[in-house]
Amino acid sequence: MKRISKPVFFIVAILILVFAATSFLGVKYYEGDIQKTTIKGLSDIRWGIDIRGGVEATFKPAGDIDATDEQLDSAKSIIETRMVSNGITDYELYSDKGSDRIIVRFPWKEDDTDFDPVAAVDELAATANLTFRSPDGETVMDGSSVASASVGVDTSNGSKGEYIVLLELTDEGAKTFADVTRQYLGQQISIYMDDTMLSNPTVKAEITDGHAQISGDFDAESATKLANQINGGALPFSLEAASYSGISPTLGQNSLTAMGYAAIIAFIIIALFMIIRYRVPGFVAVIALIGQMALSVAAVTRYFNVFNSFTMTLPGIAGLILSVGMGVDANIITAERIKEEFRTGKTLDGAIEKGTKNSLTAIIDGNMTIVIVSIILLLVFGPSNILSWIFGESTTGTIYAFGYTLLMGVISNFIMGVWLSRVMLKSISGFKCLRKKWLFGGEGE
Amino acid sequence: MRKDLNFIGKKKIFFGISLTIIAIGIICNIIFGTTLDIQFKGGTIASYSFVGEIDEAELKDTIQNATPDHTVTFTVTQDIMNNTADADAYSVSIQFSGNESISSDVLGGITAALEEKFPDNHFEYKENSSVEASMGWKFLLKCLTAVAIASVLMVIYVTIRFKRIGGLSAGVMALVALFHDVAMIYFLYVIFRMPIDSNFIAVVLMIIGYSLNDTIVIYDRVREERRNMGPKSDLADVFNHSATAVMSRTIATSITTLVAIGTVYVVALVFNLTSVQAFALPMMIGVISGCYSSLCIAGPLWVTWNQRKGKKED
Repeated sequence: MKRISKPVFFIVAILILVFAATSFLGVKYYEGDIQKTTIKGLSDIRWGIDIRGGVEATFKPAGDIDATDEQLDSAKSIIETRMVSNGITDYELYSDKGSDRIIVRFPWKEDDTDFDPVAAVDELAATANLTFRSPDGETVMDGSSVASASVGVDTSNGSKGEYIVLLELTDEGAKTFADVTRQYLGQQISIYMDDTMLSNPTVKAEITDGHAQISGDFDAESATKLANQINGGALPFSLEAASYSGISPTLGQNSLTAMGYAAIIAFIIIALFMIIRYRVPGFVAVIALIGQMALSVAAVTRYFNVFNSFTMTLPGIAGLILSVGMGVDANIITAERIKEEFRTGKTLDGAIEKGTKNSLTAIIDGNMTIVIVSIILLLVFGPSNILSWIFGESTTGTIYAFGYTLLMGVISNFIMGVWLSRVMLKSISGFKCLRKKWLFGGEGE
Repeated sequence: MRKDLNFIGKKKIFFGISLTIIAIGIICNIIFGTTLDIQFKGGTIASYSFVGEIDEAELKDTIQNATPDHTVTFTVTQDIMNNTADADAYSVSIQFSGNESISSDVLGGITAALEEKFPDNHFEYKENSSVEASMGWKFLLKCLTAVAIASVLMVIYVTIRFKRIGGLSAGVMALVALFHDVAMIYFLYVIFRMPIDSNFIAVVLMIIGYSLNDTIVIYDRVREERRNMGPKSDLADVFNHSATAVMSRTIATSITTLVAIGTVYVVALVFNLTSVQAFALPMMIGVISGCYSSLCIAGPLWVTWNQRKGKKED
């Protein structure tokens, strides 16, 4: 067997536990009286409406617009896309075509402490009409010329870099933009989002390659928000909130405590089962399992403070339960295989070598089929879906949330439950005091 | 050496059990019909305003008793737009699922019942809007398309990876096992008359994943044992031997999964979280069904298919 040196076990185990502590608890410090978050923990997750409550808002077209059914549908799907790209996957959305109302319910933001529904709703109701205006104020190009927007970093001004929003124009848009930049060469063109001017660059050259960029006073968060807004598309009319109110959580505040207890009790039972039944491989599996959960949680909170947290809902929790189940299963398959190899009379190293090798195909095939399913769910029900040419732009947050947590969980399982768990097992088997077949699941000697 | 369990020999019993459950489910479905949540069916949302604290369980009973013909759900909201003066102004939105319009008698009946039961809370009818299904037919078609794409890709993957054991048949039978499990969950909802909502989708998706993994693990062992026992060996023996060899893994994994979800269920019971219970229970049934379908449906069907094919070629 290819030996892995003994200290590796401790290094990997300590790294996993440190990572788990930061991922579950977060890293926070105080600057004066204000708490600042560097790394987000479990308490920073945006929980679903049923757990933490949220906002209910009724939108109607501003002014005396009589919206057509198509316009109302498109407004509804744009609001839906905006919510999912902001990480809000738990929502209810209804349209009443008789009275041109759109009713939306969504959960509070994770760091929302003043529970201000106006701010929460504004983000969704913004028309998001991107315009390029000539020096005399005339609109020369709008958001329909943009194929996609993304966030970039401009490092041309010194080393620090500046966040910018990159625009990829449609073929038509590229032609328009080339005409515009030729016509206004040397003059200033202003870029507006609704009625706010974002930047006011001077045209230095004719741009024909269909790329444009917006610089301004962006940080990572505001640049991402703008790119999401542009990608979501412009509403066919501006919306105003006819009413809004706060939703009290139907599960009550104690539901989080309850789910916390459930998770801890279930984990302790599984850990005891693994250690009693499989001994050393079981112990290693428990450490790997902690790592897998920490990595999955980090994928939900998005770990670093600059990213929006994903909304944790019941379907999201189902995805996590399934992936943790897959993680336990991967370790059980390996441990059972090692036991079997002992029965054929192999030595300790031989059984571990053969057992880990023979169990690998089952684990990879099982997890790969799950990866296929979860990727299809993300592609079909996510904000940019592959079936839009048949069903139009539409997203479904609950299924997207399931696919997301499942895919992240299975990737975590490959890293922790398959790779690092094996590294730790081969390393720990080098310790003299542990070199007994019984400790690895063999019969007593 | 342990004696191999005979799964193939009892296949008629297994198929019989599954077909009986499916038949009972279909009969119940015809009698009870399916209850769809407002998100799938559209319906009417009526809102009432009230002030002060209220016991939500009592509120639910009162509303439900006032409209025996409709299954309703409701959401309590706090009116923050106009609450500068009166901090405990609330409203309750009652959701009626279904396309028939809700008559003013029904709405009036609810108002009367609420006023009688909670005289101190000053219930008042506000407005009602009829909404379209947010997950309607188009959504269902989209789901089916997604399932079709995922199924084709999954069968292709299994066909390639398991070509040594008749890949295509293995893939198709894994698919049959999945449909079996989805049917079990669906009939559970029908028999217990639980409304199909987004939790149903989550449970179904999870069980598809779980069952698929179970089937693949057994196929993996069949692939290995087939290599060890040689191509002349009887397929039924190969399957029985493989299924027996992975039995301890199957039991260990099923127990840990059931214990984990069971803990969630018990805690939800203690804390009276009905929506979590309604989610954990079908999941436990799904885990049992997923494990059963891999061993007792997918495997025996695969053996039967390949034995028939073998006979034709002889």
